[in-house]
Amino acid sequence: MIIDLHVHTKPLSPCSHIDPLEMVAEAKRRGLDGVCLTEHHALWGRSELDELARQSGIRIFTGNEITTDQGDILVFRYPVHVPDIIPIAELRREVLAAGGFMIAAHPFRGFKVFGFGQLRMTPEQAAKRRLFQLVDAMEVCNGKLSEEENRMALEVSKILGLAGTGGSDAHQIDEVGKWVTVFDRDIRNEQELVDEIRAGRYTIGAAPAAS
Amino acid sequence: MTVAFMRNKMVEVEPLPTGNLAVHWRLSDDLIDVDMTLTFQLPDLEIVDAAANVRRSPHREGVRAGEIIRKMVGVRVGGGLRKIVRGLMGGAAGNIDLTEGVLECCNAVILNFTLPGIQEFEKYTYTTEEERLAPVRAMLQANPRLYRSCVAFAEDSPIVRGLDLKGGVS
Amino acid sequence: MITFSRSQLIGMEFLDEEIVRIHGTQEDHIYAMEIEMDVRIADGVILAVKGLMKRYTTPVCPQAVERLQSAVGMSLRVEGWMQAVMRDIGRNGCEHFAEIITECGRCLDQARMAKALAANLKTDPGADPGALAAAWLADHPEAPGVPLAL
Repeated sequence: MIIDLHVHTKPLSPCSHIDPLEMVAEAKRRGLDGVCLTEHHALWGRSELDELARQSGIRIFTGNEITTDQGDILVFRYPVHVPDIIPIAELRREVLAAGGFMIAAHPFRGFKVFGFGQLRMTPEQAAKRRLFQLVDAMEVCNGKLSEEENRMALEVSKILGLAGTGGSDAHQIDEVGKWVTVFDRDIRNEQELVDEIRAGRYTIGAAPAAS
Repeated sequence: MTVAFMRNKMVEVEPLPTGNLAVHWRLSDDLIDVDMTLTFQLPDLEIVDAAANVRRSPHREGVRAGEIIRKMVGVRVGGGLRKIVRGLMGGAAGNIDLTEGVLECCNAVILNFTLPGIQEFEKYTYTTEEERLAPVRAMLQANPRLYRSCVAFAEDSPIVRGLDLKGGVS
Repeated sequence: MITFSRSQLIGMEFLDEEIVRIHGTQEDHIYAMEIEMDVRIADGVILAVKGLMKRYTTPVCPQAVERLQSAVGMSLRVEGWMQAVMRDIGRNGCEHFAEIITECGRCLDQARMAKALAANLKTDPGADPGALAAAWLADHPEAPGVPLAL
């Protein structure tokens, strides 16, 4: 089952240019079986999600991208609206108490014209970030990152034995499915999504080419 | 006509013998004069020291700048920086000039590392427009976040023309 | 030794009681640009803008000069104006022009307060600038985000 775990739509994510209906149509066209809506500090309502899924014919899951003092975190199974930046330790406590799951989003996102490679940071050094002690997984393939930055994330995930996921981080329609997580099993809800990531029953890839 | 108000701002990046970077920032205008120094540890670009000093201000509580700026220790220059700094400094209700000063220091660190790449361009000589665009195109392909970031890297820019940057596997 | 530096210089002329002309210059080791714009004091709306791009990195950059005209009509007082400037002028044009316009916008109400304080201190040199500033702020709730006041 092919799922893009990291997608933003407007108006809940004001930085996104993607209309939700347009997004699901594009996801379907690109051969995805599901998408996960991870708006910035904003949650979809269950009924709206169900309606979107009904109209699209693909599975729609929901999470949240929350900014912490240690960077952005994709949070699943934590249906609480967090309006502003929050210390990661506090978020971790609350998410664990709620049985949720945290993924460090684009942990090595660099800048417009230089990346972490230029800083000569080794994966061993990068793995020491406190952030990685406070998440369940990390994005190792993010559509906004360069190959070098994604490679750094992958190497760090291996050093730490931390699960790595893939998602597009799409903010424009043509970015949907740039990276996806391909699950071995059928997934019906967010709990199963988290269970399958924990179990490691997935691989990372790109959306099948649209015909 | 004479001016009724002048503002001078300066930010400087200074590599330290320790390997860290000190960034000195100063704002001086008709009303206020404040400076800050942030120390960034490499390679993670984490702020390990932060100090600010208000020399002149009509606002009595301006002296709190030195205390407020300490909140920046531990922040890394990286993804979500604007949201993180603005959030920790109190958002719209916080000290806007000081908050933006921190972001200007971080931006100076980024530009400090951007500068060598720009200087590389200057080593080339060009005879045609296509030759002139070639190194910029290479930079865009190596740095996908540049795409759609400004007019030079917009979809209809001659720099972008011919490059496959829309979707697909990077 | 310094390896990178940037300077910004903003000057404000009050053309009359209604309009302020703002000159902004930004120069660093990579870029050099200038902005001149007229802003209506009452609501912070940009009435006219001109830009000069003096040093830049790609041959396409100068196209940002004409895109500056989309700033005309924008208000430097409405909530979220800095984000709007970065989006409409920065992403569609040039980030460095947007930086200058943003700094000019931040100076708008500071200049009004400085002008008022200067007038007050001229008539009463012994007045307390802190008290004058507090009184001005109390009288001008439209002035957003007062630096170093909180």
